[in-house]
Amino acid sequence: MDTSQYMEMFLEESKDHLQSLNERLLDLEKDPEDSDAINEIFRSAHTLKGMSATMGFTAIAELTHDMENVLDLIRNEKLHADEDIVDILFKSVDALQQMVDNVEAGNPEDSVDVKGLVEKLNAIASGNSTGSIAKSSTDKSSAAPADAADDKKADMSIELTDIDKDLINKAKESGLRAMHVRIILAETCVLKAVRSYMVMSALDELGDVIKSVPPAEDLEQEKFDLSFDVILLTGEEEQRVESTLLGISEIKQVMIEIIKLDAPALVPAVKKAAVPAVAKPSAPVKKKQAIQHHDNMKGGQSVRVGIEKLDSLMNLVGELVINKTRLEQIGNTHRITELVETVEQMDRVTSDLQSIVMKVRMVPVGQVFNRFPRVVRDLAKELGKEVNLTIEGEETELDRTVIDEIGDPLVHLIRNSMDHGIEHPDDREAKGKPRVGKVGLIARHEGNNVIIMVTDDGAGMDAAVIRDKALEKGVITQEDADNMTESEAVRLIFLPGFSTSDVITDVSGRGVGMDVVRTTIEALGGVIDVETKRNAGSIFKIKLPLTLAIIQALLVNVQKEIYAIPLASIDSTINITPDDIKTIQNRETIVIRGEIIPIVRLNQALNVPPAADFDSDEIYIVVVHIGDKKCGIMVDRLIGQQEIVIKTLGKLLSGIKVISGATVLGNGQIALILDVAILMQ
Amino acid sequence: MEQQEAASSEVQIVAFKLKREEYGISILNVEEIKRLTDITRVPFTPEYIKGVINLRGSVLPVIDLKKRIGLPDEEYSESTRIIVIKLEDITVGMIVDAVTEVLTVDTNCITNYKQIISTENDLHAESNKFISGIGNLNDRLVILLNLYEILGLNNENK
Repeated sequence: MDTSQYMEMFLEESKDHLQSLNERLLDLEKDPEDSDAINEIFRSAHTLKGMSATMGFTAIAELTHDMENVLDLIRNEKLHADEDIVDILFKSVDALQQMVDNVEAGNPEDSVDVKGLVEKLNAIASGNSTGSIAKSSTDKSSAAPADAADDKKADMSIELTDIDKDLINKAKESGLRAMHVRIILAETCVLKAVRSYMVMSALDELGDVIKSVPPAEDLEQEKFDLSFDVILLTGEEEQRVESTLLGISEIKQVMIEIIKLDAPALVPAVKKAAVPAVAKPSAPVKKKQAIQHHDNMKGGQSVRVGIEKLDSLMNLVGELVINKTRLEQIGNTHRITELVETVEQMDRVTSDLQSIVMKVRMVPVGQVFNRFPRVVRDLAKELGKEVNLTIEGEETELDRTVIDEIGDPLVHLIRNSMDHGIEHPDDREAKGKPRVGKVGLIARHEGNNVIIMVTDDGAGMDAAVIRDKALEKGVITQEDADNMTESEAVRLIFLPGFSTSDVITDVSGRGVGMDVVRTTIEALGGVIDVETKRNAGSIFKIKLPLTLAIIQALLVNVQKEIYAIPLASIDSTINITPDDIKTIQNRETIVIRGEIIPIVRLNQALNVPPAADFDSDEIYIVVVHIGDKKCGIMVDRLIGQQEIVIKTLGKLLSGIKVISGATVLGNGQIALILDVAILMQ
Repeated sequence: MEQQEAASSEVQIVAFKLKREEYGISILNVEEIKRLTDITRVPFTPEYIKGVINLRGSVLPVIDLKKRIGLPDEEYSESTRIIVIKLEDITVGMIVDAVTEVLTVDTNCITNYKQIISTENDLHAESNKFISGIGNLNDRLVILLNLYEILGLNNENK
């Protein structure tokens, strides 16, 4: 069977199941009696086993099989899910994760060493006093070969109902052969249901299966030993049937016998009437399987699409927006009313299209959050701390690209909170706090942004300590330190080369952490801030844009060059005269509504060469803000507000800080997008 | 280009002019040749980077090849072209005075530049590194360029 086309599906679904295994194991750890959790764990493990066996990843299938043995005992209350067992189950899930990752990377999945795990799992399963249950599945398979051997000698008899005979006769008349096929599976076969299903579908292609013993439902539920019988009506030769079936893996033997009905069955009418209830199973065989199959696929409500397809869709919509803008301009310059009207219609369609594409790309932030319960659990054990993680707002949606990037910074923040923030239980008690520390992960919408917060009720940070540390490391000067407010001092942790922990641990505190977190967040167009209170805890607040690809921007002229300033950071625009510019200690400022705002001359900041044929005696100031800081950007002309599609400048030009990207304007010209935060520095 | 020379005894070269000299790069690196379009200046870049252009909706950096290899620059003309090249995963446009033709050059006719002119000569050392060899086609000399050096990827060279 060519499985490559199912690979993607397999990977996606395995990941889902692994995730759910992780989650439910955490539940089980909290409440070992949680029967819902154990049932779901069992189901996930079972499905995973089935999928991996079908795909031929035996190592995964074997490990899940061993897990299942243990899970089965827990499910049947023969075994108590104590800490050790849950630990081993967690480790098994980790090993599975690794194997699935290997499969994804194209490496052999069995390069992960699971011997120790398998031994432990088996020890748990067999060490149990009611070990017979654990063995039941192995018993079954060891007993089966005997059955199979018996079957071989036993004559190939199958009970035929009159209806079967009727069908066989009819088939014979139309030149088909009726065969009695006995399929014997290999003893090592783990997933008999899957194999039987594959056999059935192979047979369906060769002809019609009119009867199976045991009936199809039982086959699906593995209610059979190693062999089963079917009656097949087919035009094919026996050899072909045999070779087809032997082509399926884990099939040990196929026995075929042509059914010869000596005499046309003389069916007494009475008997016929009595039979149908028994005879029926043959027809629904296929249908039932089909339905079952659909259930497994979870219906047609959702489609998995590769992210690269969405990206190119996004790009195309971006192109469309650009061309629409171009048409708009043509309509306006040439005053073609009809065109302008049509473009207005088109505008509505494109903005709908755009918002749908955006929505498609939106993923609930829970996808990132759901790995944290596990991270927190492991870390708490490692650090010997007691921590309770609360997650809020996991349904908040963010652009896929943001989701992909946000994971690592969050791991870092959470680790930080647990390592530096939350105190040891004894210390907490001494401080009069509950032994169990609280770490919170909260997401919510705020206007056009998403806020993600990592909170803890730990020791908080000491501004004075941070300031001294920064001084000592030469990150700031004494003068800086003296003029620093507490909140400014705390923000020093985001500077490169800063680490507050004296002891460098494996968990956090390598001195690169917070700086990297900040850089990642800023690269996503976000901002990170921190609030802290001694002994009450810290709050890290990340503000992220909803989407990255299309933004509203104000286009401005500097000489003849056009730049785009993201609208999100613009406060207001104002038209001033040169007299309005005052200087304070040689820094140019303006006063707007009583507020003193420093200004940046964009032509100087960007070394714009003066153009000979450009003159403008007007001065425009675009007031921008980052956090609570404001700044006026001096430009020559305001062109207007426009929706722009952000494009990167590419690898060769990636080092230019003040430019965050570029966009193609309606006339095909390229305008650069300013990074306001950098410009203000 | 080295690898291709080893693989076959003939190489195809896109030949173009910078001033009066003729230069060439392997055709395998050339994506397309465009007429000069609007170039948007990008601040804080080396002088030889002219800016970016719009190549069917994507942003393409453009370098002035004459400035890059240390030739005096001059006004662009009707025959000025942008050769779009791709090297590894970097796509870039190069401004040249004119594109002449595609040449097939026997590898035996390519001389290592360093054998002709001593690299000890400090005066030209800077611009020498851009040259990978000289193609000699019946007294017509084509200077073959080392694109890795031109794009500043020299550490990955060879």
